[in-house]
Amino acid sequence: MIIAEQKPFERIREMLGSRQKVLVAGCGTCVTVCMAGGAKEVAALAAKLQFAARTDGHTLAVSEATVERQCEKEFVEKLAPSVKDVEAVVSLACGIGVQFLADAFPGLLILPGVNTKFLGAPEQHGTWLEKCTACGDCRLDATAGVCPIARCSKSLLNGPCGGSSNGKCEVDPEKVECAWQLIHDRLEKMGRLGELENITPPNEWKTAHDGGVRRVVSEQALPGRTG
Amino acid sequence: MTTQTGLKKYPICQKALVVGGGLAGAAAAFSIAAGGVPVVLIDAAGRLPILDAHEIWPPEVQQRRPREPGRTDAPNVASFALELSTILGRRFQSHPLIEVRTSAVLISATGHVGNFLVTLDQAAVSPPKDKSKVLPSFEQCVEKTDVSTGAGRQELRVGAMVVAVDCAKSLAQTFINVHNGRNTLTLSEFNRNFKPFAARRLEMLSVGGRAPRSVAFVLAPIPLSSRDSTARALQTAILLRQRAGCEVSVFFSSLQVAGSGLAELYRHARGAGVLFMPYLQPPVIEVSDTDVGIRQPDIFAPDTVAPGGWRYDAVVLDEISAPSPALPRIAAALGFRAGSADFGVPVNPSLLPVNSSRRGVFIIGGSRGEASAEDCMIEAAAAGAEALSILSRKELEVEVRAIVDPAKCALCLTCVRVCPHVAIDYGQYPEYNKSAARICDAACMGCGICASECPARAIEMTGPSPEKEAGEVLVLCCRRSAEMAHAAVVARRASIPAQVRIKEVSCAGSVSVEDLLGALRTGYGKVLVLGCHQDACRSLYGNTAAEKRVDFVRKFLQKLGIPGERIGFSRLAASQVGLFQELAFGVRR
Repeated sequence: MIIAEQKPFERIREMLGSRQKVLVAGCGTCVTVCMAGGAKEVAALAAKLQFAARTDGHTLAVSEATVERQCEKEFVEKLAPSVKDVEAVVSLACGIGVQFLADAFPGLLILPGVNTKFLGAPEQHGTWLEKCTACGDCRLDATAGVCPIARCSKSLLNGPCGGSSNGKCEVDPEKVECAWQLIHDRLEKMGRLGELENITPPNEWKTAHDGGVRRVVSEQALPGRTG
Repeated sequence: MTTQTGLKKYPICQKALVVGGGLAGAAAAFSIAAGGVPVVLIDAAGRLPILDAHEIWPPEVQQRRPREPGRTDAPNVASFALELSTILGRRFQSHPLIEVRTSAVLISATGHVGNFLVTLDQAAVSPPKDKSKVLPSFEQCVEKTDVSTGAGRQELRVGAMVVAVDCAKSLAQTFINVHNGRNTLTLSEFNRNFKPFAARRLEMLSVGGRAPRSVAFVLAPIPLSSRDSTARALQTAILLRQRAGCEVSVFFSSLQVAGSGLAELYRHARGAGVLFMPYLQPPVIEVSDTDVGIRQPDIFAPDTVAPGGWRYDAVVLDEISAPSPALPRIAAALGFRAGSADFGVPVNPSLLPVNSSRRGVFIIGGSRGEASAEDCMIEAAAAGAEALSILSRKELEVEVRAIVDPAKCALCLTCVRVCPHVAIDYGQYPEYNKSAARICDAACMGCGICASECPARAIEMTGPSPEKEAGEVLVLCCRRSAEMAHAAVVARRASIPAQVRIKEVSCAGSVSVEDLLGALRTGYGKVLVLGCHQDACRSLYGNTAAEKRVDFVRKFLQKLGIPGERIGFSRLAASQVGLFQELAFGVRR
């Protein structure tokens, strides 16, 4: 799941400037689940914006709308009536949703209301942890189901480094676990500890973002080939 | 906000499960069976602990509780305990309505009051290590009947559950070096030999091949000493004195007499000729083959031991009680968060005397905290009565308090995780062709915490909700405390200022950040949330959740340069009417 975090309120106000008609648009999928941009956060942000404007003596009309997913054209198009009379939209979706809105409503100012952080999952209710960097060449088979690229602070492919102590990473010994310790422990449980001696050669990063804009094509699903 | 009300009916499975076969569990099983309802009694041990109970006291040494004048029908705990203990050996295991399953461990309990689906592991070679909370589920319980699922796993349908796992008792740390199990014994070891309950005729223990003529009890220093172990020591001391004619001394640093009947027990012991020896520092205990010497440190020269001292045939050492190590696993199987001090239930007056935060699950005896035999009997009777009040009916009729809109639900599981009453699971809604959260109306307490936390705003409460209508001051009152204080103000016909609007909420935790911001947005000058005292919330943490949200909104206001006083949270009890007036109306008392 995509994990996002709402931008500081001051930053959102700064982006909006003196605009008087604003739509706060939520997304009902990832950002709802990670509590950054669902219907609840939309309502809270709208109330805060209106309240702050009133305190400053500005007039501001804030409307609210939340769609199932801002990363599907069909759902985004449902926002058309809501954006008719507004000067700006604050999208609380991830960066993908913001761009979809911008595509769908060419003449309209679309502002990002959240910072898209990473691909991850809840650690406990209220804490989310990065698990995947979408590198495009999954090697979790060799690393016992623990991703060193996402979870090692240095993304080492041959670890651990000297900063690993008591299972923790020197970057933040309170919170960050050493991914290579986890890999070691899981390999040991499976009786595969010997595999740690295999040296992984320098990585080809072109499957990751370094290779440029990526596109996935499923021949199966392409129009004309279904059914 | 539209509201929808309705009643729902659930069939009740007229059977109970009792977890823990000690005194509390056995007594609870008996009291439910006495009401004509079948009971399954399980214990993780291979033999029920009640069969080895050594500390059910004869009536003459029971703590005497003052009774209401003229009342003769008060339950006679002492005689019940005695009767129970004497019939145990013969009849307990063959009671027609009590089915005993030993070596059985509770794995999970899905479902709701009236219809729990319990999974037991009767192989119970070793309890499962996984302590993760079991997610609730309400769908399977209705169709399935009792089945074996292989590998020692069994499923069972019951309508109510009683958790009654005894405390684990261990030697107080202070005495570890002098304990030898022969003439220096723990209280439990001593009583095991001594068998106070077995005997109207006393069975005497022997120490080193002969009956002891002098016995000393050494109670632990504060804060280790407890009311329960003090009571047990005094009860044994009285019996030794009265029935065996022993010389008995009790060494103590601070005698715990602040419990029910304890002062009376102390007077009784003094009257029987038990000597009480106070100490400032733990006495020095010197063990030899023939006897045990006790000497006091010299209070004027603490490093030396005063000359002289006393000699005893046996010395009994104090014990401390700790929650059973099995409790966290049982709590997890029942879907609870851990209670305080790892007991099965937090110290919370809203859950007294035997309730848990899950409907139809009762927690008694050593699972609740340190409990004397008498506490166990009283709580067992209370839990039995509560369970029977559910199980004597064929159908449960409940009000629908919260409704999920499956179309809006994002299945983030927030509500499943935050529900303090284990009342929410998720599943398929065929008419919407999708999965969404499901609220079990039988288990729901209507607190509204789920609705205030739902990020998709997919849950709507049927009850009162904060109104969005202008006034000067909006006071949101929890119906379990502030609203009752408000009702008292109304009953007294005290004046309520015209600018104050008072609204009842199901729980302070049902007030969301958007509710607070929304009220300010619609023009209220001030919004006040009044909830219950710390650790007194019926929904465990609704009050602290409300306080956090108020703090969050206050910080936001202050950043804008708006005085933080425009929003507030306070705690009060239903009885604090004066405080309510002061908080809500600004009236000086």
